[in-house]
Amino acid sequence: MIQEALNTLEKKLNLPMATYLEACTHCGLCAEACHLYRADPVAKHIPCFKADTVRKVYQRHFTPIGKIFPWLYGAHDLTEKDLDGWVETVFQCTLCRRCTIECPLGIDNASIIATARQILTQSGKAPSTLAEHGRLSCDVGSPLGVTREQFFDRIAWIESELQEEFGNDDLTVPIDQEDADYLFIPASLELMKYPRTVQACLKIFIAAGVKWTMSSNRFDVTNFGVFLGDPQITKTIATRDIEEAKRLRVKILVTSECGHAYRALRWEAPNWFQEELPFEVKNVIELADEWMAQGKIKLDSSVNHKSVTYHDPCNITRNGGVIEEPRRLLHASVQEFREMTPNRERNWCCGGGGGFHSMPEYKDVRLQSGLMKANQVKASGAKILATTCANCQLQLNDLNEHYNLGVECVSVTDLIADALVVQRS
Amino acid sequence: MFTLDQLTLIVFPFAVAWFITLMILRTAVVLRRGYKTELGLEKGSPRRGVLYSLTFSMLPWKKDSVRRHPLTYAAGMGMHVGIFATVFFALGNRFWAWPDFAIPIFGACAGVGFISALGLFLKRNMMSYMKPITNPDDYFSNLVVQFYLLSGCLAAFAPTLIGLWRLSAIILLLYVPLGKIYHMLLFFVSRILFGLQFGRRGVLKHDLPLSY
Repeated sequence: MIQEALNTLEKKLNLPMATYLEACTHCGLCAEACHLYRADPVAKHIPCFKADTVRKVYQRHFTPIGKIFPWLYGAHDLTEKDLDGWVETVFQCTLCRRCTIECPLGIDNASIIATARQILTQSGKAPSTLAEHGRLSCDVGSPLGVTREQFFDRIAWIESELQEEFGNDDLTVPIDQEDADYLFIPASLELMKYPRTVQACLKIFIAAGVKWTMSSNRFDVTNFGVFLGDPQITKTIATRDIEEAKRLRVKILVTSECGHAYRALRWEAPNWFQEELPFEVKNVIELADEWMAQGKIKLDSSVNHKSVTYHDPCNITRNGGVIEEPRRLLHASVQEFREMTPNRERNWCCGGGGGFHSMPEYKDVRLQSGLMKANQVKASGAKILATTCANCQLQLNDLNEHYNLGVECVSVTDLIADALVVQRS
Repeated sequence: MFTLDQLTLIVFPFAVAWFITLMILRTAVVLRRGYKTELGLEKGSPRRGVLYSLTFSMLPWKKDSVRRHPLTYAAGMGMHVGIFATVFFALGNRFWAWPDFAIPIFGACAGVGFISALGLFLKRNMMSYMKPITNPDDYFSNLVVQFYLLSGCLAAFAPTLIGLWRLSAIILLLYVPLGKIYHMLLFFVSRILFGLQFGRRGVLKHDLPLSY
């Protein structure tokens, strides 16, 4: 087990990883950049402390000076007891990378922590529910175990709702249409818990009048391999999405409002496979923004009259670069939009990322870690809290209840769909 | 018998050779790990990201940590200014004679640097959250720098102490490649990697209104 862990670490040691492991000066400025530490100031929540788990092993086993003078760095041989001690430290992290933005050296602690997660997953020490969701993602195609029949049921229901909205009984949701321009893949969480959001996305596609499709093979874009740091699961799931987009010969694969799925497919997948994808990957928010600019969709802000604030999901904003698009859409869709502070790439993580929701044993920590976000929401004074990530929405709903925020949590597409000017047949 | 001045003059070139050799070796170990350019369509400019990462993103008002810990930021800046000023002074001294008025200025910079480094040392010892992220290297690195800056400051006002300053420089040169002060090189690598990735993803946009 230990040798396997060291082999895994060695494989991950490229220039960026070695730099991040060697460059940290332990200045401690990352501590207060972390929402977990701000809510509960204990050592295990300091990002560089988390990264030190791997750093000390790296120094002991892979650096000449660490081999000769391990005491200088507090470095030591890796033991199974160490790995047991890592679990809480590295899985109680949302991989949001706010600490990277604040670090004077720009050290990516999240990539180090992801390596630690990979080692733990390989050693069979990952939290059981998270590991189970990863297995379900691979075996069933959905971490929630959503079957094809359930998918068709949901779509049939949404289809009837859309027929009513557009006043068109012939309206159908295209499934498995080859040569469409867009392949839209939702998240199972949206299908099962937030079907209104899926309906909103489909409404936007229909209103834009574009050639699009969904897939009966890939109806869940989530990728739990990312949370586990497991390259096998990660690549298996991403390959399915990529192959389906190739099979249907689409030009653009559109991810729903699922933060990690967008980041994984848009930014990480080409690196995992070391090749450019033969199609573009976009978030539904990016597309809606483009279509609004092109005049394909028209929005009427008068229907959304309550004040709205926006939570930047870390994987969409800080790690995805989709920053101004939701803002432009919200300005066009609602009468009063209020920014939280800080926002954009410096936004506070809500505490729901990194697979936290799939680790019920850490529920109290998760809720506590949302303190900074809850304070932001309260300070905004808004009545509606919008976001573009289903996972964040789940956490924001929990925070709403836990901190008694008194807001309504919705997705940005929900608001866009309400504001859409629809041509009824 | 050698005086400290004579002894340090003899040893200094060996310390420089040690410093250069080990810095090259340690850097080679890191660089041989290899770097693959990120793939995927660019949303922003990696080049602009790097430029921004090395310049404006370091400005104090761009960092939440500075707003919360202005003294730490000031101490960090003070220490680095002290180090750079004294190194610049020492290097310049090899090629030209500094005017008399410049020497106390460099001395003052070293003094400020020493006080800053001392402050950071005290912070590391006094703040409870710093203990779990501190190892012996963090103490040694700070003490070596403190000795270098204090002796540099003293030598600026008492030239007879130049041997002591040279001794501190020798110790610094010997220690830098071993400990965390090595970040003087990796700082740039790390900031460039940061700028490449966040710039490519269109996250770093310095023309946007400030987030705070």
